[in-house]
Amino acid sequence: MKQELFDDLVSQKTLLKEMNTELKKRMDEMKTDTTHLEHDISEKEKTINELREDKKVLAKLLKSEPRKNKILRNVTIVAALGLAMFIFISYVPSDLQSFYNSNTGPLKTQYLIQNLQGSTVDTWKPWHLVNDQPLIINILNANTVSKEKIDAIKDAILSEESVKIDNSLLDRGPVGTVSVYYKGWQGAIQNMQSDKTKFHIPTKFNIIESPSEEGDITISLSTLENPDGLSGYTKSITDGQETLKSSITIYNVNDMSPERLGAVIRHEFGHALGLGHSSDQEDLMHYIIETNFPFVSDCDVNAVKDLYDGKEMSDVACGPQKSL
Amino acid sequence: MKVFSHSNTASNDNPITVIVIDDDRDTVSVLCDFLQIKGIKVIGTGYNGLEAVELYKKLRPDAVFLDVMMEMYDGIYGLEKIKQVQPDAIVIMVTADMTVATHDKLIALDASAIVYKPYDIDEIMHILEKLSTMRKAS
Repeated sequence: MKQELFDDLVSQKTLLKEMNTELKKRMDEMKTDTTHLEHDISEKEKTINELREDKKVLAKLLKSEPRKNKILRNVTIVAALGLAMFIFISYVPSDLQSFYNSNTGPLKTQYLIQNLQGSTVDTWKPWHLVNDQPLIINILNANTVSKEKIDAIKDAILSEESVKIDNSLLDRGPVGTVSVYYKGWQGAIQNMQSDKTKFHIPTKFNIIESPSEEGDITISLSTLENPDGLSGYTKSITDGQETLKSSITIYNVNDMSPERLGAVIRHEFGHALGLGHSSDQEDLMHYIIETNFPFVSDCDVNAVKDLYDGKEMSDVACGPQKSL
Repeated sequence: MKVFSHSNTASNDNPITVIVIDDDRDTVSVLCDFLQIKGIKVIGTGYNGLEAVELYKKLRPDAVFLDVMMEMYDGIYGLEKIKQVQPDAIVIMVTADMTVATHDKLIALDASAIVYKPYDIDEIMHILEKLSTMRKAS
C-alpha cells in the first residue's frame, strides 16, 4: 500500500512537471502575444494621433474655406469692376479724350430768334421743308482755319457715329446703364425713332464753303474775341411759325482746339435747327457747355421731334426750365 | 463522486469528455488538472469502481480513467460492469500492480489501455493523442 502511495506521488509529480512545462510554454506564448499586442496598440495610437492631427487641420481648413471664398469673390468683383471701368475708359472715343485734354474751361454761348420785323421771339421755330429737302450749310470763311478744324465742324453736323456713355457719369442713372449719344446731328436725327411729324425734320445737310451769304444756315468763323466772352452765337430769322435763316458765329476760332470747336458747332447747330437752351448742366444744349460729353443726347433729339411736331416750345425738354 | 457540468478549460467547442476514478483524491485532482490543460473535458470524478459504473451510465463519457487497486469496489469490478453496459467503452486502466495476473485479467476484460504507475509522460501523451485521433475519426 505504501508502494502504491509512493507511485501515486511520483505520478502526480510527473503530471505536475508536465503541467508546469506546458503552462510556462503558454505563458511565454502569451508574453510574446502581449508584446505584439502592445506594439500593435502603440502603432494604432500613433495612427489615431495622426488622424486627430489631420482632423484638426481639415477642421481649420473647413472653417477658413468660406471666408477665403468670400474674399476671393470680393476680389473677383473688384477686379471685374476695375476691368469694366478700364474698358469703359478705353471705349471713350479718342476725340473725346482730346476734348478732355483741351478743355480749358466752359464755353459760353447765346442765341437769338428774331422775326422779320426785328422783334425777339421767345418760342422756338422749326424749318418748313419739303420732304427730304436738304438744308444748305455754308461755312463762310473756311479758308481761314485749318482743315482739321473744318473737319471738326463737318463732323459735328454730318457724323453718324454714336458713343455709349455710362449714365452715372452724367448723373442720369446708376452705374452700368448706358445712353447713346451722337457725334453729329445728321446721325442723331436719322437714327431717331419717330412717327410722322407735322413738319419734316431736316435729315440731310449739304455743307458748302462759299464766301457769299448763301445757304440756309451760315457759319462764320471769327478770330476776334466776343466782348461778352461768348464762344458761339446763333441768330435765327423767323416768319410766323417758320425759321427762314440761321447764322452761326464762332468767336476766337484760332485759339480753339478742333474738339472744342466741334462741341460749340454741335451746340449752335442745335439752335439753328430750332432748339433753345437746356437747363441740364450735363447736356450739350446747356447755355454754358460744361459737360465732358458734349454730344447730341436723346433729350435733344426728342426736343427736335416735339418741335417739328408743332409743339409750342419756349424752353428745353431736358431738365427743369430755365431761360436765359 | 463529483459531476462537472461545465469545464472552463475546454480547448474547443466539442472536446473529448472523460471521467476520472481513483481512491487517492490528490491523484484525481492532479490528473483532472492535467487533462484539462491538455484540452480534455473532465465531466466527473469518483473514488471507487461502483462510482465509476454509475458515472459512466449517467454521463456516457468518451473515455474512463480508472484506477485498478481501490478498496471495496476496485477497478476490475468497474471495468467489468462498464463493459457490460457498453462493450466498446474506452476504459483506460491505471495501476501500480505490474503482475502478469492482473495484466491478463485486464486484457481479458478488454481494457482499452493499461497505464502503469508511476506515469511515463510519453505514454500518457501517446494515449491522449490516440483519444484525439479517435474523436476526429468519429
